[in-house]
Amino acid sequence: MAGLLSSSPANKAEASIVEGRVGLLLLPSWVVIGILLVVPVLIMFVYSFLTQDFRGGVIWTFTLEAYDQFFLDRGLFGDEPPQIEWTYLLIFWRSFIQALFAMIFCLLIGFPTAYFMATSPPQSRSMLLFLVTIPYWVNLLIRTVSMKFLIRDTGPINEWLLAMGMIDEPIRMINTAFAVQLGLFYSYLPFMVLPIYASIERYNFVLSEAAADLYTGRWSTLFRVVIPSVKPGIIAGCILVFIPSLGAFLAPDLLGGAKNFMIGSLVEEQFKGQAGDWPFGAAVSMILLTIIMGILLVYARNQTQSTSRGH
Amino acid sequence: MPATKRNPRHGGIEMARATEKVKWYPGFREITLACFFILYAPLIIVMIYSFNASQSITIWGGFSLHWYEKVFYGVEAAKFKTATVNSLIIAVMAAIVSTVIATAAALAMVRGKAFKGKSLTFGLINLPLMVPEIVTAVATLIFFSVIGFDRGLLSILLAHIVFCIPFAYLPISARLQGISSIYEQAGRDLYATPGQTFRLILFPLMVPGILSGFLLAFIISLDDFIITNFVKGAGVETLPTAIFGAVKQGIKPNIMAISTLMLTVSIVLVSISYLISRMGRQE
Amino acid sequence: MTKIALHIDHIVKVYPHRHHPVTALKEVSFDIHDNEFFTLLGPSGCGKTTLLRIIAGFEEITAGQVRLYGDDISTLAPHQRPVNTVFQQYALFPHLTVADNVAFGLKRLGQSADEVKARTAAMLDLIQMTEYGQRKPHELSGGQQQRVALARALAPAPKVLLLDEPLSALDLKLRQAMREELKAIQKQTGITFVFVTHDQEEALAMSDRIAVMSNGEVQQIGSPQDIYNNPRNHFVANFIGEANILDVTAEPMRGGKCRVKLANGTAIPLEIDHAIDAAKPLSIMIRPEHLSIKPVGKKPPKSALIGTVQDLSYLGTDTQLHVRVDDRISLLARVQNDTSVEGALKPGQSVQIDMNLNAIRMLDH
Repeated sequence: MAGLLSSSPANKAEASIVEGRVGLLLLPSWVVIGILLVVPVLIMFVYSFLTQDFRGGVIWTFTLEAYDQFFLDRGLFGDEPPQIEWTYLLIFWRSFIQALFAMIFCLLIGFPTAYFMATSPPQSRSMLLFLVTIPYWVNLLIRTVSMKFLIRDTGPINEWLLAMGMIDEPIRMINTAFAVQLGLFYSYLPFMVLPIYASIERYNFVLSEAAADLYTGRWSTLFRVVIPSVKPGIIAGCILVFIPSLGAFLAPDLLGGAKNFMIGSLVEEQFKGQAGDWPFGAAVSMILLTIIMGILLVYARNQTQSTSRGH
Repeated sequence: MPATKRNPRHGGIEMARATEKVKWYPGFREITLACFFILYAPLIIVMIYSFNASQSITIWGGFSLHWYEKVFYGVEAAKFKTATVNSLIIAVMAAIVSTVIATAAALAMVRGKAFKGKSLTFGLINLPLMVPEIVTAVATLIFFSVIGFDRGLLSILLAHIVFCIPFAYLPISARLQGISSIYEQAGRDLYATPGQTFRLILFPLMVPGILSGFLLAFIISLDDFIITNFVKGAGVETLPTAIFGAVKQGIKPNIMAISTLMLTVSIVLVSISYLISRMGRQE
Repeated sequence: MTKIALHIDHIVKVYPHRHHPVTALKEVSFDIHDNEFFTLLGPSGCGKTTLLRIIAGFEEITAGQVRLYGDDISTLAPHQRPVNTVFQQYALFPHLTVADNVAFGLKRLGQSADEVKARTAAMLDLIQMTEYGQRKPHELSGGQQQRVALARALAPAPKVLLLDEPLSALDLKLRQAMREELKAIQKQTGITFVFVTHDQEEALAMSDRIAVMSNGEVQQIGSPQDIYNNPRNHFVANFIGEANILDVTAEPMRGGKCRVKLANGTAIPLEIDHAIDAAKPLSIMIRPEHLSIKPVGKKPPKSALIGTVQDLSYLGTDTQLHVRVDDRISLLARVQNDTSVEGALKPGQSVQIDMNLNAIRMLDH
């Protein structure tokens, strides 16, 4: 007893076992993510203002060349009055539209699926959930390759349709914008289903019954009661589909071919092979990152607002 | 019950049926079936064709393990074997390191009191999830190039550790949040020091979360293509980059065999992770 | 002189919230005697659990001191205090067997394997669960888990055992059985028990002494009889049992007596053992069972209190009725159901109310 009591008074009565060790426990995450992600992004930002060295790499002199190249067209020799450069803006625009459509299609299929899953009996519910989770974790490369295999000119779909006599020549699907769209939709569909499922599972169906009791029709209940209640899940799903779609590389590269460039392919091109323009690639990455962080910031702000309103 | 669902005008006397009726929407079941068909059809077709005996990759010529033999003993076997070994080494190391880092972080974030910069730290831990992969890849490549770091297995490993952290963190912190802090208090009350409380009580209770975090980190590392493709040195391949390279030459049946093997590995690991977390919940 | 086990000395606890700090305990001081079954009783939020957690070492003190048999333990970590807790939700370690749970504290104290084994067996025997040693907690019923939690906390023979509403998760029958068992175990082991509850019936049935708490302060400390019969203030009178509280004015009489007048002018001769400041607003308390009710006779005494029955509720052993005297005075009364009066009472009826003068108490505000 005396031994117990003679301990130093600095030993404060505390319940949490990590008290006083929080900094030590977080140090590895700070160091690793700080050095290997935050610092690299900052360096990338600096890089986007450096001069391209045509032998590969950069010269350490400040220039706005990369951003100039992205936004402005000064003619072949750079001496004409600057006009808006549409090439890259169009790639961004196309990526944006394709990501948007991927999001919409995923929502149209994903919401009913999530709803059906969440209203299934508990045993089949966990089975269905497991079945959606598997593609979520299966290698995206392999899933994209499988899709490529399926929709090739000589792939199973075309072969079967030909064999059944429904078409005379293969339908051209691979290397089209359609293929890219299909690829994005297919890639990120589970990302839409899972968060919506999570919020519908928490939804109290007594609300639907109350709406029905108050003379609300089936579809009206869905749009006026169910969907507003599970909106956070829907928005989370949309973001989880839209953001990776915007920066996707595999789907446009493997399914879209050379003509269906998206932002990801544009960036990749700057770092592969001799023609690489690293500062330009860094600038494009910076622009993409800025757009995405902007979306996430708006999302985060809305979320904190809606939670503070809820209290 | 399905009979009632199909015909909403029928019945409606029992309460349960009435509730089902309110929940039910026409067409949702069909859309769900379509959704699962879309998700699984390409994978299942590739699996089936990987057992095709025919030389032509789309015409069915009977069942055969020919392509699997090719994977293990064919011309490209050595290349894929090296790539597989690389992938496994990196995945195991990345998963171990990121799980340790994520466990420490989860302890501090979930069990530590509020401190200045806590939400910033939370953002930092999840940053690898928010930054698009292609941007992470570019930034990491530039970083290694600027500091003159040799690109090879080590650079891949370092990059993988970073983006595996949030994936390991998610199940571990979820598990930790589910463990009432009353167990630690009971431990402290029964004369366990903070260290003993962690070792004898909290850690054993966290194991399911830590294991599933490890497995998810492992899968994520094993599957990664984009970042690896940027930071790998010339001549260094992991399984995904090797497959990508081969696919660029055209889809050959041995790719389908490899894909099927990888698919199986992923499914087995996810199933294990799922079972572990379910076991954890039951306790 | 009884030995003092725990000395709670001017304890203040403030939770430092940024905008409005919350004071959970305002300078609480009292002693808990050795070998006593002591109960902290109060509504939720009164500070009783905070105080218990301070004794256990889970909360820091803002000011004050906790002394255990004379030693200041305020700055010790929970694992350094020879005090054990039975938690509200039991907190049995789910990954350990019942026996390992009971043995946990003994092992941490560095007892030898033989000692641990013997003590664990003795504890399982005490709670009559010897054959459950190898089960896991989730294989036990709620009552069994409760007993294991008790055995685990008692095993290291703590100087004080803290019990945080340990019976609240049990159903009524089991709760009543556990009350007796807990009390018996306390007597058997001779360990000081500090019991926290919001259930007054539980507190009255089990305790040697009770501290009634509200708003971070101790309102009254005393034996169950003392607390019930002589509540000091409004809060205690209302919280323990049911009470009629009436505002009165007082005028002193000779011989330590005084006369109080109800709001309607009815005078009541009352014996008072302490000085009364007649200028202050005063009130008296009388329990419903100390009122006797009978139909108004032909000639009621002038000084009698007359009222009208508002409603009756049949409660089995007795009947509860509200009697309205006038706009300001309404009384709650209880009539035993074996009396002849019971059948004669109806709503709307005029009744005469007689107070048992010995049961009337003056209250501090």
